[in-house]
Amino acid sequence: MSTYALVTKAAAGPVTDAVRAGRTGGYVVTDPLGVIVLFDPPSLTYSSTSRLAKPARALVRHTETPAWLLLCDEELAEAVLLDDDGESSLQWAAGWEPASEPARYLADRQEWDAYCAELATRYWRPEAGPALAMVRNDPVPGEQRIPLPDLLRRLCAVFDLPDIAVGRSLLDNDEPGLHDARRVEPAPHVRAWHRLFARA
Amino acid sequence: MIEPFFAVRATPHRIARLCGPAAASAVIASYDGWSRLDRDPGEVGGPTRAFACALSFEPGLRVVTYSPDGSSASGLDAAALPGGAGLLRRALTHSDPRYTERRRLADACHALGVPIGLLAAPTSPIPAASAPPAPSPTTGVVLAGPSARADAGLAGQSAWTVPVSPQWTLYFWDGEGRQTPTANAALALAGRHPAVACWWSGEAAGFVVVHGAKRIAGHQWGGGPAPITPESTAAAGRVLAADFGVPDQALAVIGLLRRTDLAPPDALASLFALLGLPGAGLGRATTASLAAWAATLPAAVHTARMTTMAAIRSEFAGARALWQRLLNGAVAVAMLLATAALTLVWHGGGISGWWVLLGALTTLSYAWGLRPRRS
Repeated sequence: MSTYALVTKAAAGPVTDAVRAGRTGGYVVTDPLGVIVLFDPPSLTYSSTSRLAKPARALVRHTETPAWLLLCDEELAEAVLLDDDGESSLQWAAGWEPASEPARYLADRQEWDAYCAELATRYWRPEAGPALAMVRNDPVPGEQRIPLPDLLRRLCAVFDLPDIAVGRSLLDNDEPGLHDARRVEPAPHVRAWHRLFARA
Repeated sequence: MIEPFFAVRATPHRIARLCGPAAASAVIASYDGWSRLDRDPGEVGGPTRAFACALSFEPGLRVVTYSPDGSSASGLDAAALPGGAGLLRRALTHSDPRYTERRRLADACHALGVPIGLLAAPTSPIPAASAPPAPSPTTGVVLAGPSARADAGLAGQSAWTVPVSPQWTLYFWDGEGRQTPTANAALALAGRHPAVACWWSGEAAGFVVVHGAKRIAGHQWGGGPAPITPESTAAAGRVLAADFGVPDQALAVIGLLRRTDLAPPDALASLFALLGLPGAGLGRATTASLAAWAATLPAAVHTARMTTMAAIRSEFAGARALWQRLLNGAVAVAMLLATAALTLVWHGGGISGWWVLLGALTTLSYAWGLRPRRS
C-alpha cells in the first residue's frame, strides 16, 4: 500500500483553513500526536515528488509550521521536510547497499549525520538529529531489512508525529482509512477576469 | 490449542505515547504498523484511535473487534474488511476436521485485515517512546599540510588553524555556525599534502585519509557497522605510517587499529602518539576546549565562515606572484593588438561590433591582473 500523507504539528483549524484555501482537496485527520492530511491525487497518472508536494507547500506557507510529507511505494520511501527555507528530502531505497570501502562509508555516514542534524534543526528539534540519523536501512547480516514503511514510522516516532499516516494514500484508494477523517474541499477560486467583470 | 491472539493497529511507539509505558509493555510483536499484545486490546484501541481485535478458541473460534470510536462487536457482526464477511463467516462456522485452528485463525485475520506476518515472530520492532540515550558530542579535526592555513576558507566553516609540526597543521571547527563534516573538510584541504579527518566521542573514534581528491583509507573504532575488514585496517595502517613518515611503524599502527580492548578515543590518541603527533588534544579534547586552546596561541589563525565564491576569491587574491603579473601584462598587450586589428576589420564592415567589444573587455580583464599584490 502506498503512502502519500502530510503530518504536521500545526493545529487542526489552520490546517483545515489551509486546505480550503488551496487548490487541492483532501481528508484532514486530527490525531492526538498531530494532524494528518491526505491530499487528493493529481490529475495525471504519473507524478513526481515535486508535483505531489505542491499542495503540501501551499499548506506549510499558510500554517507557517514545518511539516513532513511522507511518500512510499514498493521501491522508495521519501520524507520531505517543508518549511520556510524550501523543501529537503530524505530517501531510502529498498535495495540500498552502502559503500563497501571504509573511507567512503565513513565519509557518507558523516554527511548523512550532518544532513539529518540540519533537518532536525530546521524542524525546530535540533536534539532529534542523532535519532533521525539512526533511521537507516543498511543491511545487517542475519537480520531482515527494515521495511520501507517502518522507516517512515520511525521518523514519525523521532518527531512524535502520528505514524498511522504511513500506508495511507488517496493515490490508490478513495477512502482515507483513518478514524474521524474529515473531507475538506478547496474553496472555489474566483478567476481574475470574473472579479474584473464583477467590479464593472 | 492455539494461544489467544490480540492485535491492534498501532505501533509500540503510539501505544506508549497514548496509553502509557505499561500498555506498551504488553506488546510482544510488531509488524507493518500493527502490534500483537499479550492481553485483550479493548483498553488500547480507544486511546490509540485504532482498530483492534481479539481472537481466541473456546473451543470454537471467538472473534471480538474494537472500533477506533471505542465500540465493539463480536461473532458474525465483527468489523470485517469490505468483502471479508464471507471469509469471516467461514472461519467462524465452517465445520471440517481438515480446517485446522491455525488455518481458521489465518482466515479470520485475513478477513479483518490483520497482517498474517503478525502471527509470526517480530521482524521489525519499532522503538518504543522512550528516548534513546543521547550520544556524547563528537569532536572533529583535520590534520593537513601547511597550505591548510591559506585554504581554510574553502572548507566552508568558521574554524581555527594551528601548526602542530613542520609538516602538519591542525584544522578544526570553532563551534560557531554550521559545521562541515570532517571528511568533507579534509577533502577541501588536501592538496599535494595528504589530509586526515579524525573524529572522536564517547562511543566511537575514527579517521579518513584523503590524498588529493580521493578518500583512500578509513577506520573507526566503535560506533556503527562500518565495513572494517582485516584488509582495510592493513591498508589504512600502511597509508598512515607512510604519510606520517614512519613506515617502519606500519605493523604497530595496524596492530593498534585492530585492537578492541581500548576505548575508542584512547585508541585514536595512542595512534597519533605512535605517528609522532602527541599532544594537541587528539582523541581527548572537545571542540570548545580546542577553540579555547587555539585562542591562546600566537601561531593560530582564525578563519570566519565564507561563502564558496568568497573563499575562491580569497584563495586567488593575494596569491599573485610577479610572474603572474608579467603574464597578465603580456596577454593584455597581445589582446590590445588583437582588438585594434578587430576594430579595423569591423570598421571595414567585415565583422560585428560585438567582437570588438569582447576584445576590449578581455584586454581590460588582463590589464586588471597587472595590479600589485594586495597586502
